[in-house]
Amino acid sequence: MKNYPIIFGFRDLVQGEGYLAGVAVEGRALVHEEEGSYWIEAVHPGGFSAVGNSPAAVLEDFRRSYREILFDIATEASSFAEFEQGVERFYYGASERVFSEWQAAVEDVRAGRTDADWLGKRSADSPSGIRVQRIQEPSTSNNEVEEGTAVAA
Amino acid sequence: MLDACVPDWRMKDKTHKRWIYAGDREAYKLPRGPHGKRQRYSIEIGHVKGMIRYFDIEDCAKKHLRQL
Repeated sequence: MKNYPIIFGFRDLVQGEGYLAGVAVEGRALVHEEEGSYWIEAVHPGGFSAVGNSPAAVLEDFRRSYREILFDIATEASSFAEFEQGVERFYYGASERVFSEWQAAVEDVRAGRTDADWLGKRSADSPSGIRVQRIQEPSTSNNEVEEGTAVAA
Repeated sequence: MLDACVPDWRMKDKTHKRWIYAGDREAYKLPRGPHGKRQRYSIEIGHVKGMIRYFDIEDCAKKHLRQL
């Protein structure tokens, strides 16, 4: 089995009941390749996985799953504050053990023991976190292009 | 398997995902849909593995899921 540490930056607009929220995440995940199949284990945020029979398919499943979870959180939240709390809980509800494996996988990349030619590289020390912003007045200044996904190096 | 390995587990189907709760931890989110044997089983196992690792129940799960 091969493990690839990835970092990703996603930007989403989420509609809640009576509010519009912008969610910006810089996260981490671990891609597992086993016998030609791939699955992604989310690290930060944690608590979900994605599957696919190719790097492109599994990354697409991961992106969709992340967004679906945001929508689930919004459906349950009766206010922006509840939504914000739910998103933060989602992000920080990670497995420390899986994060340690992610860090070990980063060391493998840095040592040249692991390489993924299907993704570009970005520093594993890039800032990570999640930001939830209530959009009171839509403005082009709120538009952000997401960083996408890269191997953490 | 969850009954044996995560005694206090509970489940809630939301719009897009099936949320699996245990204790006061943040839930694990599985895809919704019928569970059990599927045609593309070798792909779906990733979700199960992720949940098992998230709840740290590998030793127990191996006794109940021979696919592991």
